[in-house]
Amino acid sequence: MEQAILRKNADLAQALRDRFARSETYVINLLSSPGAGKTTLLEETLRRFATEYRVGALVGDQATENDAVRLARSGAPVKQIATGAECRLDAEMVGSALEGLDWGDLDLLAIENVGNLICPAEYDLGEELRIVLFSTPEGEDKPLKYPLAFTTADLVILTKIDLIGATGFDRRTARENIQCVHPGVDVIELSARTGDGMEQWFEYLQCRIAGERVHAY
Amino acid sequence: MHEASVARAIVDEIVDRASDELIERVFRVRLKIGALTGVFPDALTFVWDAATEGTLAEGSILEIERIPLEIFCKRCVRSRQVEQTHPPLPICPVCGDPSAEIVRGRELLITGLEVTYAAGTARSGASDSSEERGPRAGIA
Repeated sequence: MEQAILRKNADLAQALRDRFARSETYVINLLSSPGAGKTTLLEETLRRFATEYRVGALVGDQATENDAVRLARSGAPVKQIATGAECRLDAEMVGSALEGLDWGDLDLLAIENVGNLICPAEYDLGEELRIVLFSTPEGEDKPLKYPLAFTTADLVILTKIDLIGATGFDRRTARENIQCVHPGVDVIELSARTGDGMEQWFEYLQCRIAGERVHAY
Repeated sequence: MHEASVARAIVDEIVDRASDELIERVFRVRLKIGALTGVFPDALTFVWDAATEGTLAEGSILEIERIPLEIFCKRCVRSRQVEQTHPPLPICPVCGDPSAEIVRGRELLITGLEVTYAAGTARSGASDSSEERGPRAGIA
């Protein structure tokens, strides 16, 4: 006997992935510790993409609708998933949330996970691109402390690079640590506040939505 | 710490299997937990009694085999077991090269149950309740 403990989640995630493929909806799953800048990055991304694409977002938090309110300002359909005691989203929560959202026509669906670098890493949500963010005030060693999240990432985004001067963050060490945990993974550095690096991120995402296998280093 | 929801997922799987196979009670549950997962065996054991309370696995013993992280090192051209650090990093312990190829260490598996069947046939000691009947769909 050998049965996956998270079999149900894996089955549901695969069903979601099939649905997303049929509707040609590109799905991204954003993971980070609390406060790394997921919502700010998404706000800017939804605003930018809303002119050319049909975009929407699901956002998971244990409590409050604050993030959904922020993201909805972009005009995109947004739904908050209140996870209560759970410290992560799972495929069932995503499936239920989609029932109340007119998502079938979306080109891009962004799922903002609960701020946590441990639990969400274990749960497939049917996404095409898993993004792990970490911000410069958190320190260079985040990848070494939470290797599972980083080994499952397709893209690592280093956020708040405008704060490097204030925090003394060493980006070379940070990049070495990322490559140490996941050699070859894509990396983008940006600041959603100043706009630095945002064009590279937008282009990367545009290419991915178009089905091109671009990479970022 | 999501061991509580992982424990519930295990109980759900057991309850599903039990209704398929007429299992009456579960006495022992064997798991394999990889070192590169977010699940800590001690924490899982800690929540097990609460998660199984009122189910057919109430009072059961949880037996966890910890699977160390093993990577394939491209430079050494062989698989290497990584020493247990917390958390373990996918780095070759011999040459120091980081590796993107995880061989073992991501397991979250139920590997065996000790059960009695509703018909009253005790099969204590059997580590597997279903293999002889053929695995059902969805079992890895």
